Amino acid sequence: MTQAPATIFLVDDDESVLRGLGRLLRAAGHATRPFASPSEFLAQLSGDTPGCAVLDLRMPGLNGLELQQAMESKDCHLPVIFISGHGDVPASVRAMKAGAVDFLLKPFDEQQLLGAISQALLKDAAARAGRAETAALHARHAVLTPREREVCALVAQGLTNKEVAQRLGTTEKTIKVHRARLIQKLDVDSVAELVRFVDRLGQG
Amino acid sequence: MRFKVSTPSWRMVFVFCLLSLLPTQAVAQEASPAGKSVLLLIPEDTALPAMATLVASLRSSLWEAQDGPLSVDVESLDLGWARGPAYTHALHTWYLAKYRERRPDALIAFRSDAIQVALQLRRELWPDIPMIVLSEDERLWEQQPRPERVAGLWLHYDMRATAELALRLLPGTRRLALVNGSSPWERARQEQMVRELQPLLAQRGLEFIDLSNLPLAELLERARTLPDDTTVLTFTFMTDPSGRPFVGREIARMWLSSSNRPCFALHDTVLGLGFVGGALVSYEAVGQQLGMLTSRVLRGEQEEFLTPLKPAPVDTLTVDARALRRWGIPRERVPPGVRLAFDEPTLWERYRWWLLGALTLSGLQALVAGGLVVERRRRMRAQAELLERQRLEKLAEIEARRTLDQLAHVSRVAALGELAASLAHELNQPLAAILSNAQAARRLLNANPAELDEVREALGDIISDDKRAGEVIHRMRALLKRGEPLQELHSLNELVREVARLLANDMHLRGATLRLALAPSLPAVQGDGIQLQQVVLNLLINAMDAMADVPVGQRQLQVHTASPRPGQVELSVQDSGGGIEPSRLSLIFEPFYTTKKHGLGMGLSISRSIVEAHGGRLQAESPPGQGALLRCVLPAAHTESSP
Repeated sequence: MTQAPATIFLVDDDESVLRGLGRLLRAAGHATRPFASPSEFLAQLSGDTPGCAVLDLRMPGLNGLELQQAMESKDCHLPVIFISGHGDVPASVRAMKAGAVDFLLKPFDEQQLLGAISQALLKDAAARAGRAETAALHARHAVLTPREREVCALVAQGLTNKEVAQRLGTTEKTIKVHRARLIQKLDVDSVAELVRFVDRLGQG
Repeated sequence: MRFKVSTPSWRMVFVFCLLSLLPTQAVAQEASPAGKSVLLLIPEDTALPAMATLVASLRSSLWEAQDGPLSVDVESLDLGWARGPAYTHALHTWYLAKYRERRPDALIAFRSDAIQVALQLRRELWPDIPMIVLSEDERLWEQQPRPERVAGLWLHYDMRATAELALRLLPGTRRLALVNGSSPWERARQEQMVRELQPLLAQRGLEFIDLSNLPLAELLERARTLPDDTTVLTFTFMTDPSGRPFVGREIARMWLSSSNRPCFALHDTVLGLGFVGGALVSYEAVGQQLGMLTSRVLRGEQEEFLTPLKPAPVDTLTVDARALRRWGIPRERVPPGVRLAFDEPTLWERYRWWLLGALTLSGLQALVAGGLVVERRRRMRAQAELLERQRLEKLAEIEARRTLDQLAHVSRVAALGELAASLAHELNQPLAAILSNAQAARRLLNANPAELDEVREALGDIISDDKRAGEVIHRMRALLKRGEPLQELHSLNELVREVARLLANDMHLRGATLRLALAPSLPAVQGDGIQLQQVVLNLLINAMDAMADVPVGQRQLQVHTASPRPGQVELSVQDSGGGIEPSRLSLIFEPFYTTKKHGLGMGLSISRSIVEAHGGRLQAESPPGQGALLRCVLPAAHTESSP
């Protein structure tokens, strides 16, 4: 699967921190996009860029946790790493519960940051791959005619051609034709594979 | 004159919660089953000389006359200062509770007001026990029906006889003054005494000066300025018109030392203080007679109940021989039968001529030398006293200033404590930036080719971030510093800017905006820069706290500096909070006054002290609909203006 290069979104209201972090990440080979305020970041947000977000927890206006929620509500699923200038335990717990990858206390070492970032990027890639696969499944399924979808669902439940024909009030022969066509359209080799496909479709 | 010696008894206040702690003033705590007991109600504190003498004398008389043990419970009702019906009611309730299970064999009461309390108590608890009253009012039983089984004595405060004695001793008297207090009882006596004196005044054509019911200060002032032909009669002074009870013997002495005219009294307890004399009531004799009467009643002699009030033999006319000398009253004027107290010839009288001779000789010698010595010593003492006073004043000033410095330091530490989280954040930001830049630089140097331009920029950032961290620490340390306050010239604008920098991060995080309107050319102020900064810091922190309930976008803080009039520099801090209620405007400067959950409530109090120590003033205003405005005015230093 081809993919655009990952981008690290940096959001911190402290300009020099923003500059320092950007420099470090670029030196470590990452592409970065810095933002000095949550609102700027939200305005430029696009859901399809792979990468992760490094957010300062305490900022005027929206704080980091609120920003994380705003991202979710804008359907942006970038993994988040929080950084903070002071050890606010309740806030860090909430951040982790809300699905943050890590919570780093300033000043932090590059290994901590880079470790968290590679973890976040893996998570993003996995999530993206999952989302892409589901999307592909849906796309293939969308090609079936309504009748083929009915047959597909019943076959996946383990019914024989005869039983399917009885259910749908038609002949076994017609069902065989539908079945051959849908197996071809869905690009599966066996009934077992068909069952797995429907299964994943249900989850996606 | 008899003066109230008691301090107010708080007994009634604690009566119902502290029963067990009450001073019962009982002599014999428990009467043996066989022994008898009496309850004595007296109107005033037992510590009063008159009351103490009366009680002691009654007691010893009872013990002598009675075979076997006898217990005397004494209750002093503290009726001297008017406290209204609620007090007497509470008193009654208390005694009902206290004596319900403790029935005396007889009830004794002294003075008309205590007699009423006793009568009511007897009616409700033990209607059948005998009662003995000692009334100063001859007409006690004319005002109410006389109950059964009551024996009584009349204690006559004989003002008329006293006045007559005074006129015999001081025939030049044209005016009679009468000193008396303000309690209801004293006022009632006043009427009676004026009634008694009326015929005498008319007969001799005397002017009457009423010195009753006066505040103490006025009374003493009047004492100093009485006309020359005045003679003073005194009764009591237990309360002034405001109801304040007085501490007695001191006031008797105050009166006597203020009075420019001879004074007469009615109580033998004050004989010797300087009164000329009077028909003095002997409380010892009265107590003895009361004791004898009580004994007879306890023995069951019913005939004692027949007479309404028997006069007590107390009218002993007495004169203080020393006071006669003091006022130059010839002894021949003392009528026969009058007791002459303190009539002992002095050394001087005994050896007058010998002493005179010796004194004349040595006196002449000593006079010259002594005069010189005295004069010199007086001058030296005056000088020493002046120096000592100056030294003490200086010490007090230094001490006060030192206390303020210590308090100011504690308060600064507390204020910075409140800012600690914000300051930690403020330090961690540059530290984080420094670390990132340094590690980035290392990576950039290792790259091939090394990105030297980027490294140079990183190093530049590191330097400026390091400086920034250093400034935070420097500002913090300056405020935490504790040392002798300095007297230096400061620019108020610079102090404000410095504090604004310290608070910038906190304000940023609290979503408050600060608008500085600093007058471009402001005279310098003189004083301790740290303490002045502390004032600014407190004012700004307070203003931010005041806006905690205001929505984030509307938290505005305005700081102005100005020179409203020559020689003055003004700093005002206005917030956009809810303002201060007018009734609290002065309260907010009280120590430990706070509306916040955190903090000591010392900030504004200390700020005001600091400002005042710098010769300025700090005030709060709350213009309607505008939030609070704190205005600090400081004197300008005598120097050129500073930017």
